[in-house]
Amino acid sequence: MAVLLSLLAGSELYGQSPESDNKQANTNENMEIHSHHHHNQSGMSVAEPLDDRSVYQLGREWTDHRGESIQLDQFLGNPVILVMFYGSCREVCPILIQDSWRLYREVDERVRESVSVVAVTFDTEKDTPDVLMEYAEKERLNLSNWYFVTSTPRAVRELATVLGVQYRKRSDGMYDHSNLVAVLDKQGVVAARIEGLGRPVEKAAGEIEQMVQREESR
Amino acid sequence: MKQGIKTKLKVGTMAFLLFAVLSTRADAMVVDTLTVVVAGTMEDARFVPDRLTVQTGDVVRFDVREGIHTVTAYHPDNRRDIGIPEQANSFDSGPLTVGDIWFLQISVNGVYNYFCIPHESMGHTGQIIAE
Repeated sequence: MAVLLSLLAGSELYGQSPESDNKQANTNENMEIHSHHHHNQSGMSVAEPLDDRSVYQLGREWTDHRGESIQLDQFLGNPVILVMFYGSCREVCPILIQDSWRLYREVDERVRESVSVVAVTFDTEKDTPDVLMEYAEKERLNLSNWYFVTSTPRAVRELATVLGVQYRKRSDGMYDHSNLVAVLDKQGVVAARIEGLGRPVEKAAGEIEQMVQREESR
Repeated sequence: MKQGIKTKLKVGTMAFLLFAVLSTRADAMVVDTLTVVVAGTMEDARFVPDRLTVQTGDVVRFDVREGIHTVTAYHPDNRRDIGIPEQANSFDSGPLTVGDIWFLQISVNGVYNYFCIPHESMGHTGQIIAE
């Protein structure tokens, strides 16, 4: 937990978006840290305490493109491909989504069923669940294990900070942002980072396969 | 190409002659390289020309002049209905920016529909017809 909190407290944010991020958001008092027992997607109890570096310590409420409330720690126990984007982007975000798709497809089909893909929007104002559903449909990614997700500006900023993703809203309503597709392990710790666009995905796919195989052999 | 044939005939062995004849046939296929310019950004993004007729075996060179684009096949691999010949391989250039050049060899007859991932919704699509 200390690692995660220090990341949040010590981060230099890349610009400050107008919606912005009260500095108070990055204090312990305002963090909703989840450290109790967790449940994975299949409802199995995961008794181990969360790793200090787990993204899932952020907690917060999130809503997916189906309008369903989700908790990040519901993904405990399985690998996650995590990407940050926004729906109205007509430059790099569609390529980031394609990169996430390439990584997902590269994973062995048998293992793929255990993988979730979570795409979190920067644009919490425009990207409502309905807009995200439209996006998922247009991209033909309204798949059972794909989640296009929104939350409060604060929660999105916290997640970005923990991932090392920088972003800022421009005056034209678009966003400047860094490009990252991350792989989270079963504890929600970043296990692989694909930074940039159109990068090879084979290595990260191999890591996902190994994670699942290790879990199966336990 | 003719110089290449002459050089092979001078060697004179039957085996090499056979190889030379086969090679000549392969060499005799005239492979052309045709250019599609990828221009514009956002609503102005476009392939020029957006419809191109080639001979099978030709190479299409995509020359990016502005913005960030992709050259991506309409194919289930790219989450789209198939829009290229079934025997052809799917393709996706990945991100291309100003100054990038990307080559696509057309190896199967038919119609190849492709799009730019960032600008598809703005009509940034193209077609290659291989005869």
